[in-house]
Amino acid sequence: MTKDEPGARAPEAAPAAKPVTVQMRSPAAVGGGDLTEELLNSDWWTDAMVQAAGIPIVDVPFVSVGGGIGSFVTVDYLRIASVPPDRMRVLSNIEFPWKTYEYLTRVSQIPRGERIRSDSASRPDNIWGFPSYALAEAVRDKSLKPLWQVLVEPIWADYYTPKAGQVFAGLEREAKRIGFREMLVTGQVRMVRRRQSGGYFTILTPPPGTEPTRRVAYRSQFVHVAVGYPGLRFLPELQAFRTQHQDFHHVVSAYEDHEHVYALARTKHLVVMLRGGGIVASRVLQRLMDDRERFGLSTEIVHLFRTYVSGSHGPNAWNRRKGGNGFAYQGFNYPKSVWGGQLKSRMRKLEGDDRATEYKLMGGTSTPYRRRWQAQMREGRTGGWYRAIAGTVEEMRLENGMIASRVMISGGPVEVAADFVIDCTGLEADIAEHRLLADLLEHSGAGRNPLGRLNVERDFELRGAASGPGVIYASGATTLGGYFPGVDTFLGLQIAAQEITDDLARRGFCRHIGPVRSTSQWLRWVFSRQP
Amino acid sequence: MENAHRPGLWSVAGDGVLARQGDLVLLSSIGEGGLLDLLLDLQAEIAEAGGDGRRFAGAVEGVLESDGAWKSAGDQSAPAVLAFGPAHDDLAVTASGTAWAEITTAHGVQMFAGQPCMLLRCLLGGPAIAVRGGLTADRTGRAGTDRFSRLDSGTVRAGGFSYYAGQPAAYPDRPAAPAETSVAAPAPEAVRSATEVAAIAQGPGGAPEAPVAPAEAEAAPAVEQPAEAEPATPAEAVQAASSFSAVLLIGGRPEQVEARPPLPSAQEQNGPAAEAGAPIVIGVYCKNGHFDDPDARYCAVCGISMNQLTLVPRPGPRPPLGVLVLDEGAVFQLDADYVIGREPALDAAVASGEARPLRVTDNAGTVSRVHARVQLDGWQVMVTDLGSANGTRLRLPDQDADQALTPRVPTVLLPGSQVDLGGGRGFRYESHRGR
Repeated sequence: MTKDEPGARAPEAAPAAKPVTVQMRSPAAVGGGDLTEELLNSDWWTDAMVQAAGIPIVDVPFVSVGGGIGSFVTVDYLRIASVPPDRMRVLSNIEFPWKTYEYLTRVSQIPRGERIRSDSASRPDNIWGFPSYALAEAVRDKSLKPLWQVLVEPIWADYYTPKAGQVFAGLEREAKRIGFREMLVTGQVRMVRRRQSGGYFTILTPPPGTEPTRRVAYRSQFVHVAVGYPGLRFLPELQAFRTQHQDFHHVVSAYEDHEHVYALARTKHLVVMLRGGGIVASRVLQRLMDDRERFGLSTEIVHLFRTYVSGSHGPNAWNRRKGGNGFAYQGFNYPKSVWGGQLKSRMRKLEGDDRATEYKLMGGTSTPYRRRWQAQMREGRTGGWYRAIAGTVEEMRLENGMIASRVMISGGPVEVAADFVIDCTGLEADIAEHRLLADLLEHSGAGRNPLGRLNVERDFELRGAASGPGVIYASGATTLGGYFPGVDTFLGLQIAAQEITDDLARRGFCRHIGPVRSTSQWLRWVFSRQP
Repeated sequence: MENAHRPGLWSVAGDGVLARQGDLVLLSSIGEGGLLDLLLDLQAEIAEAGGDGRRFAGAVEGVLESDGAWKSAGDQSAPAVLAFGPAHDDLAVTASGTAWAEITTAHGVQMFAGQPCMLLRCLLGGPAIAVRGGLTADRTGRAGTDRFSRLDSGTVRAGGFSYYAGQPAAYPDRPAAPAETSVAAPAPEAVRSATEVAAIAQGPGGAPEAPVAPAEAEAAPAVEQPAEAEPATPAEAVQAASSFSAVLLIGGRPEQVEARPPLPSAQEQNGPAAEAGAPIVIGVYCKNGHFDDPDARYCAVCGISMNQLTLVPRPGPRPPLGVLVLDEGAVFQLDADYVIGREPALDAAVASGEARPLRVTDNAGTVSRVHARVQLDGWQVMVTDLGSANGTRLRLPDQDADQALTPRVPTVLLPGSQVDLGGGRGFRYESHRGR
């Protein structure tokens, strides 16, 4: 890694022996290292343009933007494929890769001790998937139960899934092993623009006071973009309550802390309305039902589904998913055939609307069938304290301290009153809501796929964004809708990382991970040795 | 600490000197020689001559520049001095040595991080909304102030300060008395009846037909507080062009703030309810223009990720910080301070309109008439035992043991904290903002 403009970063080299007067009218105007109009408006940048703006340039061949699990898995693969840490930089505003993931799981009722919805062998900290989480847990706890469970799942037992805390501990260990901290540069990535002579400039805004200039440009041949979800999109009703009435507690999102609902339920009778039918809805539902059982509460639950699934569904006997009581049941986010079966091979060949249709068939909100909460729901239906309805909300208002919702069901409108409404719909914002992605779409030639996300090739190269020998790769949730489904899962991120590593090996950036390298590197993993 | 956003100059204890003459403020370390005396004389002289901040900042800079003592000391460290004052519609500032300042104007926040060899003078566009400063890197800021530390004029020993501009009426941080009167006059009764109803309604094991949560009845008028005369919000001042000029005299350099678009108006942002009576605090705006806690990961209004932007601290109307959930089933939205007890109206803060009364009764008599106060400080929620007979205990989330609060010492509450009022009654603090 070399620095352009060495003088730009060494103020400490010349301590002021006597007062020196420096005019600093407007920091940007005198080359304080900020973006200029010319840079902002140009799709292609030259080195001279960046230098003229006073932005120091850091050369590094590979830059990963995001710093979450997507970046982590990708640099993990590349480290195993022989790339040393000083040839890669992860530009991120989070201190450790699982920070965002841990936050979201915790607030949506999956603390470290609870199990996430992921397969035993999908290990973001272990590209081989062996030993699996189940095996590791069996060894650690000296118990055969996890192994028995993976053997008989899903017929005689629920799918085995790892505990969140186990996943984070594994990531921490692997981060240390590959020297993740050495590669991490904190700051906010403002944009990635193509360089006229090939490659890219990635503009980072470092935290205030850490660098002499407002921006730093990373000049690289390869850029990897894994910025994750641009965020959630709260229900319009929730937003209206907050902006118009400054009421932040009657209508809440399942993805934010809403402990007051559970706390209050322990003190008095409550009616709680849930909206949504996915994994988070089932976690919130289980929390309400667990508390009800544990503390002897009288909480009533009204569960509103937009799409009510009453039974098994799918176009034919070979392509069918179980369902019932409103939910669509699926062990994991995607059918197993996504990973190596017929769905994977079919999707690789589909384009345009055909692909969108296939995604629609396969996708939709689903949740795993877990025996315990099925039993709790049965009890609730029998006892009359759990009711599921299908419909759409037309209006929500606060009346006498309760949320009155007018719901349009098949027979006409009905009124439902609840003390609290918990939004578990998990709607996601459009990718253009993310400033960096919007800039890629506008200035760097990136386009959208049939589902409206970033359009990537089969090797996860961002289509239309090539710059000479340079390539932008993208992986994770922002690329959902591509030739490979399941990109927003641990395994999906690993498959993307593998494709990217293979492509980079073809381009000579790293070595190919063949059988010999794979075996020797696995042994290094086992003994916690650096790759 | 309740003074945090009230107008005035609030000193933070320390080894230096804080002096105020009119609107000219000087914070300085006490060095050898007569430098400090010279600065104090200058301040008094310029204040008497009309208090021109530009002249003051220039004169302080001149003194520091010509003062030979520190230059010959060999370590090239300038004395820690911070001086500022209004210059027409702008603010003139001189900072040197390790003195630091965080200055909020309508255009945003400007940080001056102190460095030993720094001497800097600048003119910031627009009057100051808030200034925090100190002599050393230890930035206790307003957390180190208390309600008896206000300096209106004169000289005191101090190591830092928090300054909030404006007339009291322009800062609705303390619920304006007239507004509170119209709502709060019936409030003690409303609260009492509400909590009692809940206690009766709940009964053993809870009653399925329990009436509406009383808190809602209480909270509803609260959000509709009639506002006093609308304060001149910083948002309105933003239309003025930003001007920033600085002269960096020795080494170092100020941290720069992003060139920013005009702030969206509060009306657009948070609707009328937000404007009425919400205190102005320093926060951040999400990409969709909603005002948020600087520590939020996702916008509390629309859910968009806050991580994708360089967040620039700016002033804005503070949204509710969470709720208090009483043990017998009432919820109180935290958009103001509360005094909790059997007769909270006896507390001066309630009488003056600074806090709302929250009446809690218990048969065992363990709750004092004025027991505890829950205060909002910036984006934090604090609890203070007001010298109650049986004390107040706090259990923070994920902790097995609780701790007794030292009377009259504010303690930070985290979401999920359980507060016990003398052994009989209690409440929880919960927040959508999470931990």
